[in-house]
Amino acid sequence: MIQFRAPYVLPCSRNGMAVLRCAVAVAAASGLGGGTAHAQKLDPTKSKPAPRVSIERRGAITHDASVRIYGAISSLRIVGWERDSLVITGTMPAGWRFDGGMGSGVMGPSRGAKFYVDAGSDVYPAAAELEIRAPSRARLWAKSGSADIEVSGMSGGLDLNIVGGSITVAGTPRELNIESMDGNVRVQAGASWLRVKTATGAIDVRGGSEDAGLSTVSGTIHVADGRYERAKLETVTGDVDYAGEVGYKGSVDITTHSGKIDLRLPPKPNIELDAATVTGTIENGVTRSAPVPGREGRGMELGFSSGNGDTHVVVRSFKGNVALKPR
Amino acid sequence: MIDYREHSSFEELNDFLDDRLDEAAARAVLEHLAACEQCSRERDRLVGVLNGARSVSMSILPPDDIWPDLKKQLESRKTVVLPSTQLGPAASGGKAGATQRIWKSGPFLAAAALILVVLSSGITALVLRDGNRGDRTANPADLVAWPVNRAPAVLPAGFQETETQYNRTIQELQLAVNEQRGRLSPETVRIVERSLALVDSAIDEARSALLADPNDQVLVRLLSANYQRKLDLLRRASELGPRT
Repeated sequence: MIQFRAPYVLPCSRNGMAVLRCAVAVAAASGLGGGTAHAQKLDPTKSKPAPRVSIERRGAITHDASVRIYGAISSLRIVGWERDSLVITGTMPAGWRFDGGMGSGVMGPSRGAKFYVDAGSDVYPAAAELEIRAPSRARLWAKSGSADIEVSGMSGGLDLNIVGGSITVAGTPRELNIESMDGNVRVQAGASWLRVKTATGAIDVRGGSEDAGLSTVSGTIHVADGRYERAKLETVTGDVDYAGEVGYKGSVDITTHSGKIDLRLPPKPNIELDAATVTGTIENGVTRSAPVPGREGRGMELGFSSGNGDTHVVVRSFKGNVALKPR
Repeated sequence: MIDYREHSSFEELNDFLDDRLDEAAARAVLEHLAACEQCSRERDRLVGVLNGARSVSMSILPPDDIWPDLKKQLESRKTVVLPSTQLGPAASGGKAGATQRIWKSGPFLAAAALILVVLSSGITALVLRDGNRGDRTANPADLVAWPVNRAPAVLPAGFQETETQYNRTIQELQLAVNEQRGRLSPETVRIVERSLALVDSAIDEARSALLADPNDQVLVRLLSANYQRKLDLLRRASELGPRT
């Protein structure tokens, strides 16, 4: 039997409400003996230790099966393995319902599975904590409210959707689609096809991608490393820090309204740069090209071709300042 | 064929002298001229004109000393003599003269200029504000100072349709989110509303800038990106499940 191992890292975000929420979750979790992430619509005056029941489902499944899981989940750990079977373990408060099942495979193992956790109430001090072991090439879809989701060892497709909490993905999924409201997102090893969207949550990406699209309203975007063939980074007020490489004939497109943009480049970059800010400033600390005043004297523009210029980088900002810094 | 009994027309005589008639027509005119004294005189007059024209010089150069005189005349025209409003006491009366002095006094002119500026700014602000976006609350202090006296204050034609599509979709999604609102947690509602306020403020800023400079493609792109963020946000909010 796979033992459930609860993660003990709490995703306390920057804002005060999230910190308060985390503190409440800590109190609730400690009372429950091993709970983790914040719960939803928590009423501290009514929170008291509640008995939990264990969850366990096992079954044969194809290596490329589709697995869907959703509901009141506060902690979800997804582990890809090299077996054609699906195992779901964990705990949830007594009285809740964990339901669903695996599709019946006509000629063999199931090609799909679908499970959900039903709290039966809007008020609950702690939600389900689950671990899923699935074939590494399976396609997995998970949706919850506030949840901490950790993924490792998956090389198939992942579609993860949360409101709060956090998502951390290790491994190199073929396709990775993440949507979050204020939950922070960390992609540690990249994905061939990558899409991350948040409202206020921070986005931290490493590892590179053939096709990456990262967007947020007020969260920050940090691309620490990796090689990107095509990358599109967009924020409204959030800062952008790009330190990745751009693939041969690749393109990186960064757009922000008022966020600060730091573009970290090697000393002799092979790029064709086209940067413009409507009212902000541009600083070039990498090449000798100097920014010039923008249209009608407003803002600044900077364009140059360096090295063989085989990659294209476009930077656009309304009033956010742009800085080219040595990597 | 020209009838000998009829006089040659003025056009026929001109064409004859310019050697533009065909052989038959030219022969007919020639025979008529031999017999018609009136047309013959007309022909002689036209020949005189042509000869006179040939003797005229093909180009005329102005005298070398004409430019100083011309410049002097142009300079003198720059001094415009305005009609005098300062009527003499005998002509206007003492009260009228005092009124004129008040109208021309420094404080009055300054006040008039201030009123003009305020009115102009107000009208410009009304023009720049789109009527169907009245719920947006961009902080005017954050808005960049754009030239307001430039025309036309309209979005680029290519973007107007795009914005209409955006607004239509936004309205539909907004309705879906409003229906969903009661089922979402208060914190989720706060996150969505706070983010929407940020996006709306950014849209206002970029839109005002684009109205002032409709040819700036960077602004078109930035405004489109802001609209896209708003669409994404509303779509995701509308898809959130209950109790999230």
